[in-house]
Amino acid sequence: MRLIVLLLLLAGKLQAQVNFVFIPEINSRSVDALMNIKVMNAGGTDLGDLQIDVKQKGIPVVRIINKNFRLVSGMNTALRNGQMSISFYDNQVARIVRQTGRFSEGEYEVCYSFNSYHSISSNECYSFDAAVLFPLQLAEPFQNQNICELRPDFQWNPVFPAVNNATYSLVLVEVKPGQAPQEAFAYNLPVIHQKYINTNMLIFPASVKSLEEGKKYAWRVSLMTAETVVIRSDIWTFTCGCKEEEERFNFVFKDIEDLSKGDFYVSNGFVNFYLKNYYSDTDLNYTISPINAGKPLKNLPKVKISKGDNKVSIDLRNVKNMKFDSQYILTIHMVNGDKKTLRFVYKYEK
Amino acid sequence: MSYADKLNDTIPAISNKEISTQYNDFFAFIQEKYGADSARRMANSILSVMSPVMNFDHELKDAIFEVKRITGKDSYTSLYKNVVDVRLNEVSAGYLQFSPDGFSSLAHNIDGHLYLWNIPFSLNVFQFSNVFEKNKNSVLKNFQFDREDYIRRLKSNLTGNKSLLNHLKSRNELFTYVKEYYQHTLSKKIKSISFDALENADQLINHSFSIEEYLTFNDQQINDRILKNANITVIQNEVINKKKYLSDHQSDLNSSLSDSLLNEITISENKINDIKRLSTIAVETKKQLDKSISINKIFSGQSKYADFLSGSLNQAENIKNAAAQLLPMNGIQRFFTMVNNFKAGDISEEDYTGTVQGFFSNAVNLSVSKSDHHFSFGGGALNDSYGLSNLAETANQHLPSGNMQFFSYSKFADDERNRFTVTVMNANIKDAYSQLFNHSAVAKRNNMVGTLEKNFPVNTAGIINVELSTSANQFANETDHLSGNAQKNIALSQIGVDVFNTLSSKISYSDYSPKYKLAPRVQVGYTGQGYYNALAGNNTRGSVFYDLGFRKDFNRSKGLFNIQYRNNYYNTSADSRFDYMNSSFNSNFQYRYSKNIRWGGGYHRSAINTLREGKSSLYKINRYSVNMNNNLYFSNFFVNQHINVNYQDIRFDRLTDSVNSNLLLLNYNVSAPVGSNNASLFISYNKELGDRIYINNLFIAELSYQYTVKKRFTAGSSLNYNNDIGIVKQFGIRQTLSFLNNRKISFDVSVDYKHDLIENLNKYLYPNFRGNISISYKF
Repeated sequence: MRLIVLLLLLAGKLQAQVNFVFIPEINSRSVDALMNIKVMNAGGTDLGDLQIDVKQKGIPVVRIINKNFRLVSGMNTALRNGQMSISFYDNQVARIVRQTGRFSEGEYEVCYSFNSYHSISSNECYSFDAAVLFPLQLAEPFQNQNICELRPDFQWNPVFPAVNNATYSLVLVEVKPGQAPQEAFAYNLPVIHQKYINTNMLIFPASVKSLEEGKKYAWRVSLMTAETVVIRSDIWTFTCGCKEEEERFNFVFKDIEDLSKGDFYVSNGFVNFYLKNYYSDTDLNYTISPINAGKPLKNLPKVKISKGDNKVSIDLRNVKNMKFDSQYILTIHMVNGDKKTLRFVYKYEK
Repeated sequence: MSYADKLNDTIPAISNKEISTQYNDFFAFIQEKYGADSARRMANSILSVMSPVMNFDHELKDAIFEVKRITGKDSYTSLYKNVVDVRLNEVSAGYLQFSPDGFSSLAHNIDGHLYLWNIPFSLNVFQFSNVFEKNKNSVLKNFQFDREDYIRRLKSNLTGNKSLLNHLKSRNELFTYVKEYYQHTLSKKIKSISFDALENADQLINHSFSIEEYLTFNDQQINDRILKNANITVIQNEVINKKKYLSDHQSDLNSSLSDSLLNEITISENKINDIKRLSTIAVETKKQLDKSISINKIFSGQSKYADFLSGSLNQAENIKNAAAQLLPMNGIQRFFTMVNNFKAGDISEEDYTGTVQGFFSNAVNLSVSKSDHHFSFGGGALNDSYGLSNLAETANQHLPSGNMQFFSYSKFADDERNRFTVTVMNANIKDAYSQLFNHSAVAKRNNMVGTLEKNFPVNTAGIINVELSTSANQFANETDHLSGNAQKNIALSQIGVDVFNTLSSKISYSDYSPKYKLAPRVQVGYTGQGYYNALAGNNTRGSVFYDLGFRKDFNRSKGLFNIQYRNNYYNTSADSRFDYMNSSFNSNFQYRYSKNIRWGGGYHRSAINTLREGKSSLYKINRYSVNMNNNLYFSNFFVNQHINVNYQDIRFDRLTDSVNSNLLLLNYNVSAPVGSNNASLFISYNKELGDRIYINNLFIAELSYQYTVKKRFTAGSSLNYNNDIGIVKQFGIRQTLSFLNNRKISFDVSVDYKHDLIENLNKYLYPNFRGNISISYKF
């Protein structure tokens, strides 16, 4: 009987009771990740201290101790019980881990041990290379740029060091007026959502409609492995459309009656007013003279007015001898003989 | 004593002598007719007009004060008649479908408005799901103060009662008084002259031109008008005829008849002289007046005041101040005139330094301003996987999960050149590594970041900006490794312990020279290896960078030229040497060659190298681009073309192969309006010129036509062809239809069908079918 018990005890001692399943790609990313391991317990339920020691080239960096840790039979995935404490040693590597939760680049050794209170302890060590990823930097279209293309190509710098089985994913959304870019990503349906990109560039997808002139867009690239986000780029925005000329001018149409009563009009290249014509369609009969020199300007653009309401916009930008910051008088000769004069200051710089 | 002397206390920069001598008569006239107060106001107005920087803000302040004094608050309608009012604005839904084995999503959106004491808030609930991604769905909601609507309501209450606006307009009296002064001076002058034959000379003047015309006419115009109105040619012809008659009938006429004729001729000739004399007087008087009043300056001052009038009550600050003083409001309404931003729910948050980034759930953000002081605070749970595109994500190594709170204060006047800002952010986080594992035992941390930022003005337009930030991180349950004693739990205890490691700083200089149209900028920055802002991920720690560049605008808005050079060094290992370097150079230009032709282009180069064991290249790219946009006019239509040519070479090693690509990309786009419709053609071609393909050769062509159908529908039809060489060759059609009924319903439908001409090797990227429908209903 005693021999059988002895043999069983010996057998128990020879078997490794607890195994720690450490996967470098997953478990070396951060301090938290060190604890996201699976612990296999071949024996019965046990209680003890779970200890994790990390060293770099023999120099200790961090130690995590989980006292009164309850290990059940079989697979333990949740390190949820006991009292956990973490301590950092006094060196640069440890200081960086303590401030950021991540390991700086280098070779490390991690040892997992289970110091059982009642039975045999187990210990397993692994080595891993901590890789610090280069930021995911976007390249084109550049931040806050105004681009002329409605189907632009997107480009970014690849991430180093290269990550196994990782692909890029690009999302482009429209940013509505008054919306912050992050809110645009949350509340707007994506215009482009392209996954599994192998290259560091995306040609504008054929299946997506062209972007629209005048609209603002935001985009972001993420590096993914399966459905895990490894790293994301900043959010960059750009605006489509470079037809700047027409949008510069503020087209407000005031009644010619009001304007001719002495309101001061500042023309930024156009003279705009609203005019009611009680007669049939005709050409607007008007002259423009400088305020002090007298001679009316020549080659003024033809303006057609129709019967009824008219929004008249006279484009003076190409009229010769219009001088910046000079004052002019516009005289309109109405069909019924009435005359309307409007004095304006010309503020268009060619 | 001149009036200017009496106004000593109100005259700042211009010397009294200038005003007193020049305007004395004008002031005297105003004083006599309207009183001393008016004369004083005129002096102030003239000063405003004469000073180089015209600032009329005091006019608004004075007007508000006067309205308050005269009419009081009772004349304005109360804003708080209805306490609570809820209104549903819009409900919309959208459904997006790719080909059956692809991706499909359904989204609903509800927008409403809630009015509390007439303070508007918008409510938004957005629900979306992606049928093929593990049946997940998500709801995002937010509640926001609609500041623009509130300001609009305040403004309409203010201007509904005309008194403020009328007061402001009436302060624009300078021109009116100048007109009267001209009228008065001219009349006085004319009355003082005795004309021989001309009666009612002042009536003649009044009929010849209005006082406005008199102010703007030149000598010739004045002369012509007077002469014409006096019918001088008629009189002159009469004289000629009578003279002729006399000479012809010299022998016939009796003496009395010839005497009377001679008399008439004399009177007429005197009249002609008088008219000419009157004209001369009118012209001379105007010359003197113009000189004494500096009429041109007054015109330009008036035009600026008109701009101010139309602009001032459109500016939020002015509306808020006027409302606070004139409108009857309760405490909450008054508080909300100071609020810039108030939102809750799933939102982004704003601080004044950029420390608080990202998106948050169950969050709140409030920012208020009072004159130069701005405060913002808020908090919420970190959320990096929001949005439809994030539904499938199960784990995140980029950002932790947890919650944060922050406070930010900024002091700045309008131009921000002296802006000072401080932000403090506190976050309790843990790495959200995986949703599959339970995190209870995972190390929780407290992360604090403090940032200070200050602008220093340089020259007339330049700014030097200095930014200093420090971070501190504290693990919960940290013990001292030697004694086993517990460390303090909050990061605050860590601040200052590891200064250099946890510091991030940046200095930048930017300026603008209007003379050379040049805007230079320089930036230098450092981030310690231990610097960590939980909201920003790990992107910048352990780096040093410098950045130089400038932008030059060409004259006459012809275009611009931009250049930037940036070097970034990264230290990713614990020693002090740099491990990586990223060097980039960017340049681009835009040039408006003529009204119809515009050129653009650029060169971009980027290189990433490792610095360990010497320098070796990890990644290199050179990218050249040139584009042209032009309008071509034909007899009765025109087209707009856009051509873009890019060439880039990329070199780097991947895990499985080496990339050595020389890629040529061409884009051509031509569009033409056809009546009120639009036709366009788009062609895109990229080809690998080297041996090894990195980006596959691709040819895309699309011909589309956009048109309106029956006034309310806009439609688009397009034919497209894409050939991703070796992978797919498709020919397709796309039809879109939009209906916009301004009042209630609008919808958008789009259907895209592609037919494979060869076997399709990538149905994910090139689906055969894509449909999209969205409907919205407004209440």
